[in-house]
Amino acid sequence: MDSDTPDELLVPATPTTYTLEVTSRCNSACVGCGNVFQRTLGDMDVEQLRHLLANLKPHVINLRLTGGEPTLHSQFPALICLIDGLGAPFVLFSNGLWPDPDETLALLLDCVHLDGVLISLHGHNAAMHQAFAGVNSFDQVTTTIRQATRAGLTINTNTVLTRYNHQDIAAIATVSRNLGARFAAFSRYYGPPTPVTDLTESELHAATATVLTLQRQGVRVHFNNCVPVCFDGQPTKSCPAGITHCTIDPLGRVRPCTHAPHILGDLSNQSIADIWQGEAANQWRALLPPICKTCAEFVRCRGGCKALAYHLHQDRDPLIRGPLQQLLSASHTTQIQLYSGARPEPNFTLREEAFGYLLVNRNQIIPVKTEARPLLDALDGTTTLRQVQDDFGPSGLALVVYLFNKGLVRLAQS
Amino acid sequence: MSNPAPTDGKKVLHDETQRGPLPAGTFSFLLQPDSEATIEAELVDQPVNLPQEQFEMLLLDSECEV
Repeated sequence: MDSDTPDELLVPATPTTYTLEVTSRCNSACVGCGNVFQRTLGDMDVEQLRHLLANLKPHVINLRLTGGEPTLHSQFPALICLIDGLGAPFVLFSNGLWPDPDETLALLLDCVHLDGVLISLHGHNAAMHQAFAGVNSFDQVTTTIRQATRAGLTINTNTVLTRYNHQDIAAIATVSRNLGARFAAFSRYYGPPTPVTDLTESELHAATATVLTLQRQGVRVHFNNCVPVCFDGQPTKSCPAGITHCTIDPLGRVRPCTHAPHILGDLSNQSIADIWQGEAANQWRALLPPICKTCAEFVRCRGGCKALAYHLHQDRDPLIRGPLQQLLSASHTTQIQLYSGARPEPNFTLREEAFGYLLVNRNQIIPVKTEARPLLDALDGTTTLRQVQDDFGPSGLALVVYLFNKGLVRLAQS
Repeated sequence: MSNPAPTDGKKVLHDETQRGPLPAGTFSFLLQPDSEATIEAELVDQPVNLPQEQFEMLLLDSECEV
C-alpha cells in the first residue's frame, strides 16, 4: 500500500469488479459521455477477450459490460456467450437502442449469469431524454424496456442528472416503474463539463434529497454513484475506482474506472496483479485529497470522485467540504430476531489478502481480520448460531449477524 | 461504549445508537468500522421470518452502479 494513503484504504492484490468497454461504437450522441476512452478504438477482439478472461478468471467476482453501446459489437452473440461462460455474475449497461431487439433479447434471456440490464432513460418524455442522449430515441428506448421486462428480463433504468431533468426525478421514476423496471437509478454526471449537465450545488443537493425522500416513501429509486459525505451529510457510495474496481478498454488497457482516462497498464503484456500493484495505480490512489484522509467518514466516502476533479482541472471533487470530525449519526437501527438453531451458510467468495481476508459478493466487500478464518470455516451449513456464539463468543456471533445483514450470509432454518 | 448485558433472555449484540468506534470485543473481526450498520439482534428459540431486502440490495448495488 502506498505510504501516502490512509491505512483504511485496503487495496486488494487485484480488483474484484471488472468493467469491460467492449466497443467504442455508439448509436447515441450524448452531450457528454462518462466513459472517456477514445471513440476510435472499435470492438474488443473476441479471441483477445477469450485469452484475457482466461487470465482474469481467478480474480473476477463480477463483471459489467459497457461501451459505447455493447450490443453494437460486431460479434455480440459470441461475446455475450463468452462472458456468460465465465461463470461470474455480470450486468449489461445499454442505451436501449438494440440493433436487433428480438435477437438481443433472446440472447440475454439465455444467459445464466446475467443479473440485469441497466438502460439509460434520461427523461420522462422525448424532449427531456433527447436533451442528454442527443438523439430522438425515447420511443425506441421505452419500447425496449417494456419488451424486455415483459419477457422476464431484469431491467433497471439510469438517469444522468441534467439541467433538463433534475426537477423531474419522481416523474422519471414513475415512467420507469410503469415500464416494468425494477429500480430507477439516478447518477451525478462525472465527465468533462457540459452546459447540459452543469448543475449548481443547490440543485444537486435538492436532487439527492429528492431521491432519499422517495426512498423513504417506498419508491424504488436509488442514487448510484458517490457524492462526498461532507457535501450533504448523506450516506452515498464510496468510490471503488482503483481499489476494488477497474475498467478495461477494447485494447485491453486498464483504467481505474470508465470516467478516468488514466491508463494503469496493458493486459496484453502485464498481469492484472502487476498492474494493480504498479506505480501508475499507486499514483492514481495518491490523488486522494489529503484533507479527506483525516475524515471520520473516509472509509465510506473515499474522497469523492477523482476523475471529476481531473476533468475540472481541480485538485479534488468540487463538492468536498472538508473532513468530518465524527461519523454521521445513525439513520436507523436494524432490529432483527434470529433463530438460535439457524445454520449460517456463506454467500460470499473468500479472498486472502495481505491485510486479512475480503468477503465479496458483487459490489459488497467486507474486509475481515485473519483471526476470523476459523469462524468463516465454521459457516458450513451445519453449525448453528447458538454454536457460533458458544464457540466464538459475542464477536463471532456479531460478525455472522453483520454479514447476514449485508447479504453475505444466508441462514438455513429447516 | 459497552455491550449491553443480556436481558430477558434476549441478546443485544450491538447497540450503537450514538455511533462511533465499534465497541471493543463486539465487531472485533472487522478490519474497518462500518458507521452505516447499526444492528440490534436477539436469538430466539423458534424459526422466524427472515428479511430478504439485503439480498435484493446486494444485486441492486451491482446492477445500478455506473
